Amino acid sequence: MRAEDAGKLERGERVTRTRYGVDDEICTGDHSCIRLSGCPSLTVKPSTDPLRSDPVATVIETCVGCGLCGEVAHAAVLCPSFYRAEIVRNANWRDRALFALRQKVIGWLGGYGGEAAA
Amino acid sequence: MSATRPITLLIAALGGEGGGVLTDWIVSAAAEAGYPVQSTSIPGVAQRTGATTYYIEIFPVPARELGGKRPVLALTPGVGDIDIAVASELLEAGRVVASGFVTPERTHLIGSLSRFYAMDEKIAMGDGRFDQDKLIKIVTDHARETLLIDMDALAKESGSIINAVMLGAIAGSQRLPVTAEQLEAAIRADGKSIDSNLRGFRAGLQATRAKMPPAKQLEKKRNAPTTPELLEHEVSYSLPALTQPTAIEGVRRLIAYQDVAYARLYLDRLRALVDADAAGGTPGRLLKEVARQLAVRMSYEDVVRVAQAKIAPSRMRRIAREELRVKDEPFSVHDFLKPGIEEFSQLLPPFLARPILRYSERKGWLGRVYFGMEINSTSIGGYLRFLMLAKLRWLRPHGHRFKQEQAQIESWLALIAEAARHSAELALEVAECARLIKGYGDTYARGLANYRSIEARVIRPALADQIPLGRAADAVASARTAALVDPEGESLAKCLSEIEGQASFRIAAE
Repeated sequence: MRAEDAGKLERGERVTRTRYGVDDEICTGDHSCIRLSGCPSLTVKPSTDPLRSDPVATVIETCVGCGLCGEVAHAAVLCPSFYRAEIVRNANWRDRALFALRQKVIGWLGGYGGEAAA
Repeated sequence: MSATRPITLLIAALGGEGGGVLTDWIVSAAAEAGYPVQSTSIPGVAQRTGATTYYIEIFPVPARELGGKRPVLALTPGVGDIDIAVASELLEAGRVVASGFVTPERTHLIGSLSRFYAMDEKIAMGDGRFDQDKLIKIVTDHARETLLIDMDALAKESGSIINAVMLGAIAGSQRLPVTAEQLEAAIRADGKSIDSNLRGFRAGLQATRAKMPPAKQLEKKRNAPTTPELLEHEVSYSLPALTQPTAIEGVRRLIAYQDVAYARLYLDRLRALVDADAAGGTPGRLLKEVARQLAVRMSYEDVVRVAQAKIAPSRMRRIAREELRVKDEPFSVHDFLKPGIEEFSQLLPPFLARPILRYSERKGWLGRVYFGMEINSTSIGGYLRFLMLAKLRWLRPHGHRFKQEQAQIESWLALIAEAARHSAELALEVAECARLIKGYGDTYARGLANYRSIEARVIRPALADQIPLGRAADAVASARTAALVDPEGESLAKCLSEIEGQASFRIAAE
């Protein structure tokens, strides 16, 4: 899949890369997700929260975005820490326009307006 | 795990003011109290191009509790690393600031308002003296907290040397893990000019205490609006030094989580345990653990907190930058929520939540009926949904879950206080048991159930003297470790029955 994507990227075709992640602030360090999923890309790291001593779950670079961990966590009603992030490479104008609009409006509403992405 | 760092003290004094003796007093008081301590001095230069500085590091955990390990202490002060800076003269206080040793995040500056003019000031043909107000402003602006008293005048009034007054001011500031009594004992043990030194010491102590905001005055002003700064300030004089960084972290977290009043409650709960903590011999050791666990417990995970975290700009920035390495490509973040009936009931007042939960339980919906949703948090609709949930924060203190959590927290705190009357070790272990309670849904329920069985079968019997005190702390610690071994609870069950077996064996033997 990676080779295929690399080829598409080179030819300038639109490629969506999907990754899964865990929010450090929301993860409480119980590791139920790891016990259930057993994925090699799902591991632990030291908590960034000075008040929590248990390590938190994290998805490392090798994640291919299969989505199994998130699905398992969702099915077992484990926790809301998982998220799926998608980045569009060689985006078309529609992707860009929609993204710009969303960021603008969310920025007005006080959220993240894409200011530090560039 | 956050490592304990040594408490660092930098003293600037002029020649002949007895900075060396002052350093010896502090070092011997700390050593007498059992703390690993180290000091160095850097001679100044004649004609006031620099003060003589003394640097002390005290490791705030007694050596006997370090299990043979020895902390590594530094010989030179580091910029940005100083907890307490003491200067016997105002310009020297300014010089410590100019050298970068005073940082607004960390350093408490104790300085004298008195002046001893430097050569440059004296040789001027007109008035070459530095502007005193400017100096005070610089010093106050750069320190986290500043305490300025006229130490020279106090020394003269009490007929002592300024170093004794400085020691009194250090004692009064309550920044060191040693008490005023221990510092006073160091003067006596030294055996030289005891009377005049004690007079100076007490003058410095009293002047400092008079300057410190008395706790009672603040409490009277309870109705006045409390600000985050006021709370952080309160931490710095009402809790032991060892506890302060954690407590400040806790205050900040709870203000973000709920509001200032909630952080006020946090601080009140900690202050109620100050005596129980001090009884353990190491001020701040128990309280530090309680401060950490209490902040986490009070900011329990609910839908509002999750929503707050999900739409925090810092989160999106982190994902974009670190996870996706976005340059200018469009990206999206999708979150998964699956609240059940319990999660929805949490924010409802108890009189509504209870019947709903009872009804759902009868119908068998609990743990079975969920409202799964995938939210694109980078879309406008998704953002608004989370924003709406985050705005429900005002409902939280009226909710069913809030009442439950507060009742559990109160009973846990009472248990710690009671355990502290038996032994400091036991209290520490009881405090750490809060670690079991975490997570969402089933994970949370399992942790809470484990905590409750440890409380009922180990902690309560220990407090009722059914388990010998010498073994009680160990028993609590092993039960807690066992609870974290497997999610099915087999290890815990085995561990608990072993502890009970031993206890009943002992009773039978008696």
